[in-house]
Amino acid sequence: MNEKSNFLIRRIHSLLAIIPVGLFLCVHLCLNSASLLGGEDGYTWYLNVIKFMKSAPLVWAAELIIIAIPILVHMIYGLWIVYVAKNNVLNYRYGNNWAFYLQRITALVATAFLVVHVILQRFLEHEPGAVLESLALTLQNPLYFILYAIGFLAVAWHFTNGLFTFLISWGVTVGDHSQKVCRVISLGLFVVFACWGIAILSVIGGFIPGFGFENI
Amino acid sequence: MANDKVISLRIKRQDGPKTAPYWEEFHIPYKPNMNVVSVLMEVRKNPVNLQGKAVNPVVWECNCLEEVCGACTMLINGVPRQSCAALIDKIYEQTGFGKQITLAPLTKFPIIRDLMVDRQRMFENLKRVKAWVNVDGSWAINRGPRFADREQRWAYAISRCMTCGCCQEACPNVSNKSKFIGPSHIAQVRLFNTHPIGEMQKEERLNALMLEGGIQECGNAQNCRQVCPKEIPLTKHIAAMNKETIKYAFRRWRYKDSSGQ
Amino acid sequence: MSKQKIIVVGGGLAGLMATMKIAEKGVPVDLLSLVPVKRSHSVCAQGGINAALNTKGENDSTDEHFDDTVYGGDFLANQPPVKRMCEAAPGIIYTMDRMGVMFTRTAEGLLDLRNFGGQKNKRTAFAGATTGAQLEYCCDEQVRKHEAAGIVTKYEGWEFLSAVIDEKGVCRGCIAQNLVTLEIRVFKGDAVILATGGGGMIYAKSTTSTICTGSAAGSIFQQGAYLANMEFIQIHPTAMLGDDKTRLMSESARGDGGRIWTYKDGKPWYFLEEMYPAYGNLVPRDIASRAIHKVCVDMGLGIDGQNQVYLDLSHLPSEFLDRRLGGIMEIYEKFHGDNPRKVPMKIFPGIHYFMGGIHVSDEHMTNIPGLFACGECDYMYHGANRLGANSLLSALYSGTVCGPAALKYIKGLDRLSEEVEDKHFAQELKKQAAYNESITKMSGTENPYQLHQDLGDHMRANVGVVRNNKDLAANDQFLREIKERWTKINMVDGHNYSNQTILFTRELKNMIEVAHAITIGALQRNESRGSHYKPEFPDRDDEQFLKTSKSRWTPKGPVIEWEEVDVSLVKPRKRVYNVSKEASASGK
Repeated sequence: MNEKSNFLIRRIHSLLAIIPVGLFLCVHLCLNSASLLGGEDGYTWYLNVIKFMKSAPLVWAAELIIIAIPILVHMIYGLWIVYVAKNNVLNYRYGNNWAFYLQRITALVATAFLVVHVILQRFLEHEPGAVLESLALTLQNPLYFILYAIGFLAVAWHFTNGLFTFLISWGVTVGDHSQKVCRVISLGLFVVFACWGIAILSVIGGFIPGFGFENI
Repeated sequence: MANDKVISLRIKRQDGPKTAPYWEEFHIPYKPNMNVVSVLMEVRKNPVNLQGKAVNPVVWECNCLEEVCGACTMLINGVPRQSCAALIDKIYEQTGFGKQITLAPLTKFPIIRDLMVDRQRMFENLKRVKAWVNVDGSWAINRGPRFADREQRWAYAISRCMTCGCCQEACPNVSNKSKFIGPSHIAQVRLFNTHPIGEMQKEERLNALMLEGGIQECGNAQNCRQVCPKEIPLTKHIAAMNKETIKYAFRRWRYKDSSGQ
Repeated sequence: MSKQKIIVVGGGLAGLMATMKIAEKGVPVDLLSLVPVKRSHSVCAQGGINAALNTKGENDSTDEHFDDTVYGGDFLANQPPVKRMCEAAPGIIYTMDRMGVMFTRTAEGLLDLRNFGGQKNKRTAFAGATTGAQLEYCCDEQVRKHEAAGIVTKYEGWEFLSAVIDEKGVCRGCIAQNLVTLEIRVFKGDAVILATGGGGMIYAKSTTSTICTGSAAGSIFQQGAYLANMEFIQIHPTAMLGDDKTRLMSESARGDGGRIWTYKDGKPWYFLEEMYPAYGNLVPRDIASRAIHKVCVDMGLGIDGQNQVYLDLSHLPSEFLDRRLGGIMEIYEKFHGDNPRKVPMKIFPGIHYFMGGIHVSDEHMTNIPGLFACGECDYMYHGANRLGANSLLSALYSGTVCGPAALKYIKGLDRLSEEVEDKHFAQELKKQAAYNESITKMSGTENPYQLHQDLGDHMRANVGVVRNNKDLAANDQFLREIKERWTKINMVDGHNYSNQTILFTRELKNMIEVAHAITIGALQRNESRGSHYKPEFPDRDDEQFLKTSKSRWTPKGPVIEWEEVDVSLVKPRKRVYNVSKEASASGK
């Protein structure tokens, strides 16, 4: 490790969060959106999508390279970044400082969420049907639903706000105007992601009558 | 009536770098148009605390009293600013007349005594980023390079930085756990990399900016921009240098050969 | 690297320039400064720096600059050094430009020039209204480069206490004290350059920084160095009155079109334009200050019945003002509250600059061999009144002379300061340590800060814009008393760490000594010349007083000697600003 590696790591850390982790998040949400069809259709579609994905060749390699390693790198180095910061939102109550603070809080929440999510939905259950059933069962409990929703919101904030800071860190948005526009876009994206994710969770948890999987 | 009005101060004091801090309160007769420095000057003319006990005069730094030298920077009601420019009447407009004013030393620098801190680190870091134009010498040669008016306008704004430390104080990523050189110095690099002669050594400065504690430590909290007393658009200059460092990193990699560069 | 070493005291423009000149020649420098050099008082200079660049199609020349300067100084300055300064000025500006000073530009990318007081041509290069800060930062950066290379060692937070003088009367170094640890130590050097600035703090409510105490000059004054022309104190006509100090509102405000006025008979009266039609608002500072003083104090026409008149910029476009005068717009707005783009600024004259200072030769050496002085603390370039924008020039120029002069001097020395017997250093160190000890133990009744207030108030009242011998004699008496009161100071701070009061008490003593030199000089100069105005003697008296006053310290008070002024280049003529210079030269 030479002195310049710090710059490199930091920039890679920011890049990995967008490509591939951010992209994967979008794909993940899109696939899960199959459930939004609701009822039996949604259930079947959802299972088919997952089965299709699982049957792809070298899926384990893809999971490792595109998902696991980038997330782990981002997560571990990110925890160091969280540790180093001396948050001061109470003294400096500016919007971007709040965003900075939330970025660090959501980093911790998202980390916890991902650990639970991966253990429950990736390692403890393998068969797609069983994964979905256990998830549906869990989410029917309002407490777990809320926890799950918080976890997802943290991921959504971390990603959308991360887009805003990514654009600055890579020198794309330089002036005040472009930064402001991207701030608005990132906030808008957060709202979209939040609604989208909560809708999927609600359907799986059976909170939208008639659409839920509770009777299947 | 006027004599009844007092300015109530609560000052975080510390006798030396290793002793424990403590708070002390002072009441000073109110006069219009005072600022925090002139109030502190009144304290030292008669250093008696609220309890009526004679105490040591409060130690703080000040010099120009015009917000040009940067010496008297401290936390006033929790915000870093120059105490000479902190007008008591203006503070009261926000907090209400007579509300206690809290003074504390900057927290990102080692304490010397009371409100005085050691900001030498910032000057050391200016050396690190080679914040100078590397002229051959101070002798007269001939006219300097032409420099466009439109460039001068924003470069001049950066060159008003007085290394006061407000941006460092407000930055959440400047802490004793990190070596971040802070926002002001990144802007300084942009200043020297813009000057027609300074530009000739721009790689050296970009390189310095990419070492440990360099530009990558910025977390875009953007407090620096809010607290800069000279209203330097630091966030803009940081973003511009983000671009420059990344371009430079790629270029360096693409052109690198066995000779080193 | 040379085995010799030079000590520079003071990190303002003059000190930094001298440091640069010495470091470039490979001789190590110990640079002592009270504050981090970037915070030196030079940063407060606003309006600009003069040099006859002649880029505005006005046939300006260094001769014209020279003539304006000696004429503006009422012929009290020795002329050859002033001429050399004016000739060197364009080169200095170009050098600063190369070094990265962000001078304001013309549309074609050249240095812009503005008007300034006491000169008819555009001759003042500027960087907005923060020219001093820009120049200081630039020199700070250059010296930092030398520091990084290891040839300059900075001692920031050290106060000069005294010079070390050996048995032959040669200066071999100095004693200095650390402001934080209070350590007192010897700095050995083959030459010592004082660039310690003026002493504005001797007066209450001056425009200067709190470090401008003149203490170093006061200290070597008591060690036998001469002070010269101390009675010439520049009072800047346009300063904003504050509770703690007056804040300078640059002359460039008038250079760029600002107008001074007050109400007379219910109508705006542009009294400078009326009294001095040839120069209008751009008369030199002593003239403008006296006019404002007259209008407010003698005629009672100050705004709202107080001692203040308007400096009006509100007729100029905001964008123009922000671009060229942004620095003072900010200061006025922040410290006063009104927006000077919309309403006129309220101003009154304030103590600003010491034309006089340590007496030096053309090579900037004091009468103590090896001890040099440059910058505002010397007396060389401004005579009886300084033209605006000449101070940044004289600071930089004197550094460029003093540095090489010190180099030349140490080349001719027979032995290194390192080889001088230790006893000289030990003796002076012991003396200063004992003095420090005695200050620490002071247990009288006077608060030193209150005493300083009294000193400043008296100086301001008695040795200000208008002087008369009765007040000056009273002030002399007052100073003798205050010296006595000084011995009864109570050391209010009991700590032995970062104790500012110990250092301030020492400075205060030196300030009183300098104040005495100012007062006695003013008392004995029975004429009116430049900034020194005595209604009892309203005219300039070249017969008797075309002389430099040299003040020598004695325990009983300063003794004045008179020295001829070198007027070999321009014959002294009557100084009038209601007509053009050509008209005055032809004797009209």
